[in-house]
Amino acid sequence: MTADSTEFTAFYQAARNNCLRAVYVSTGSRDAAEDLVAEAFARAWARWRQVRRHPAPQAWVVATALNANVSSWRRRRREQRLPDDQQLPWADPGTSADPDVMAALLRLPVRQRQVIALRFMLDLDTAQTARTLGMAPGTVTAHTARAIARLRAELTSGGKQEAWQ
Amino acid sequence: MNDLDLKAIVRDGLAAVRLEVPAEAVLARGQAIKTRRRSVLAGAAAVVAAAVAAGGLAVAGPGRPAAEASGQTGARSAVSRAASTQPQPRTQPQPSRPATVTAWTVTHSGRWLRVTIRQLADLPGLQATLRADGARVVVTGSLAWPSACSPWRSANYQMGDVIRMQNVTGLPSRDGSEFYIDPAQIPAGALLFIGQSPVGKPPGVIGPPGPMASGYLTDTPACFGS
Repeated sequence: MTADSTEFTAFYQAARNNCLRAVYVSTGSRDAAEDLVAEAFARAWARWRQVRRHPAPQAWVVATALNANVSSWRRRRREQRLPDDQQLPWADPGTSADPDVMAALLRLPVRQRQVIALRFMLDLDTAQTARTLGMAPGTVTAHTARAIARLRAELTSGGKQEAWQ
Repeated sequence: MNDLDLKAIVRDGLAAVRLEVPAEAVLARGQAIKTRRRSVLAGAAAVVAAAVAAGGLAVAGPGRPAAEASGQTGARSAVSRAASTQPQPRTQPQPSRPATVTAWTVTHSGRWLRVTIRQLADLPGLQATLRADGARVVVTGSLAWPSACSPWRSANYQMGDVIRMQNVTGLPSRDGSEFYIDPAQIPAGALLFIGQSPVGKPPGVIGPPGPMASGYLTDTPACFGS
């Protein structure tokens, strides 16, 4: 194993779960997220000497995964939100997300979801999030504020009624 | 509940979500991508070289450029006349001495844009200049295209209609990489990829750049904006 592959493997082991969670939250599809993130990591390895110098390699992976998903988003409109009164159909304790948390996230508009994914899962700041998603920092700030307000309302007992009615 | 509490709840809620793909599988897949990319780029370079070989006379027609740089004289009047009737070349000044050398030059020659790259500097500026002249291009400082792009697939197209190397070997001459682009021939739905490698020249050194690759990429907003 070369020094490069050792370094990449360490990066992969450390970053893969957070990248998967970020893409999962962004796309709403666990299966698609796994495929996209694995492929994005493979692309990262294919150009590791460039990616390793990136200020936030995890963001590079997530951005690559999301970019690869853009066309299928356009075709399939995968970004449709979960209706407010609908629960997630699956529940697989041990390997799945908390159904309440995931349902609250999936009720967010897709851009708010992406911002939250990068801010919460990858700990990116506003500027890094803006660069990764190709939006203005002010837009990131606005999406973050709205998403947090809504999540707080959704995830706080009884808060949903107070916040949205 | 403050923001940190909320963040902790969300993160805890997703803690069970894990990527189980082994690192070895990712490494193997990455290696396959790397190998495929090299073969695609080598194929694209071969297509350009073949197209130039097939249309070499057409390329040679406008004349060998950069007469002023090489100091040679001869059959370059066609170029001189064309240049005199066209807008002045837009060049990227080199930031430091010697002041007479420009990093790259774009001039009009009939329907063709003549591009000379002498130094790998301000390639985004070159890209912007070519786009302003109607050529939908993606220019990089390596043989790889941006990660946001993907190859354009089409059953029938001719690279030689769009880009032709001045040097029939496809390799840079003493004056750098010299080639012609016909913006009108770039197929709809495609972007022309130009990858200029710095191989063999340390950064900042004036002189001919390394090998160049070209090909078509799918025209998407992400790729065009990359």
